[in-house]
Amino acid sequence: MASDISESLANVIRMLESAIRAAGVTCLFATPMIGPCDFAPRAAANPYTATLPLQSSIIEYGKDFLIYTLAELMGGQHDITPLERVVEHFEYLREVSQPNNQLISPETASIAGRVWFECWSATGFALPVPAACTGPDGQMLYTWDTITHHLELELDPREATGTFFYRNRATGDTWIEDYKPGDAIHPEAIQKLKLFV
Amino acid sequence: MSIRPGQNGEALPPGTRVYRIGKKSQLSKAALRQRRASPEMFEPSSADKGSESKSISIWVEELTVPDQGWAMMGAKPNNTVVACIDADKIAQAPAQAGFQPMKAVWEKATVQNIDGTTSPNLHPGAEGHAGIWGLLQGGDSKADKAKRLALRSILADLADISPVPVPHDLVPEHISVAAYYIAESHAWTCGCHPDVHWMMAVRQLRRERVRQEKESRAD
Repeated sequence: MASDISESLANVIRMLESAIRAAGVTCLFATPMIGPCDFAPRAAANPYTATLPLQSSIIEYGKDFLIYTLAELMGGQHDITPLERVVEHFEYLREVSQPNNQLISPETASIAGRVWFECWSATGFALPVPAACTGPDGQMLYTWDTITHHLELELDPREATGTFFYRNRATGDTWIEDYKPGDAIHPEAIQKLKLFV
Repeated sequence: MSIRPGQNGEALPPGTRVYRIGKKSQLSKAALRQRRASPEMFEPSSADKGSESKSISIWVEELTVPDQGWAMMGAKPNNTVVACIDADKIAQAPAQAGFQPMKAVWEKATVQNIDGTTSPNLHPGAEGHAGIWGLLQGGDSKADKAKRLALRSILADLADISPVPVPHDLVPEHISVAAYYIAESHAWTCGCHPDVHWMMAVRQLRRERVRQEKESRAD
């Protein structure tokens, strides 16, 4: 019984996921089981505190599971697979290089995607997806962080090369190296990247 | 605490809370999940580099509600992240060898006219505009570039991401209640425009959400 419910819920979640991705964060829950509500925007704002009005005892049974999964879909703290993270990252690169929201050029987005793949390959296919952020003049910055280590790779369309920059928070030591996308990654940069594997 | 804007270049008073909204900073979901500011949010733009003040824009929270700052920066729907810092921490950040320490200073907000000239920005909240100075020191050498990159990553480390994005996601009814309460507490005699009470309510609710989040993190 429990597994049937979980499977049904999983189907619901899959549908919600498609709808959320297709429509953005809008009111999606207009079914008899889950009444029309504004859960999605609230969950997007704070997936940990938003509550879902539930009208079905079956769904009530799986409430925690549903909220857990929705929070995950909305960017919560639960694990998502490495592949999902990569897909999400490439969606982000597309999004920030769209003509109507062009924070980086399609060329920079393309280079950024390729560079990510090269870094991932260079670390034995183990480097996590970076935290990424666009800059004021079309830059793309990748960052990897632990408590002690901070590594950046910045791609600046105004310069022919990217820049690796490392800072050790404990010692204050820094290291910097140019990187031309397409060229072999500097061995020291690979060593730094492996700090985050 | 009541803050009065100072002259251009004057240091912000001790205890001032400031925030930065990167004008063209859009963070990836991976970055948003980390709840960590990106150093790129503190990257000076070409305009900053060419400016007289050589500083990057910040806003004094006491004088400019983040939603006002965001609106004055063009209300871009994808720029949702507010990075908050204590101005004292900026000044206390370790200086790089041969560089002056960073500092948070007043800088009057301006608007650009069609003819390219600038005029004082008179929008509500514009008086809270300030800048972080120190990110544009040094020359073209790799060593100086490393120092500049170190400074912006230190700023990112010092910043807290506000749990309330821009535009805010506060419940309108809560804002109404808080605004009414503020008007009551002013005994309806302050002469403030209702918009002022509304903004004060937004500020108060934002602060409360930040406080609650800090408490929940401490738990």
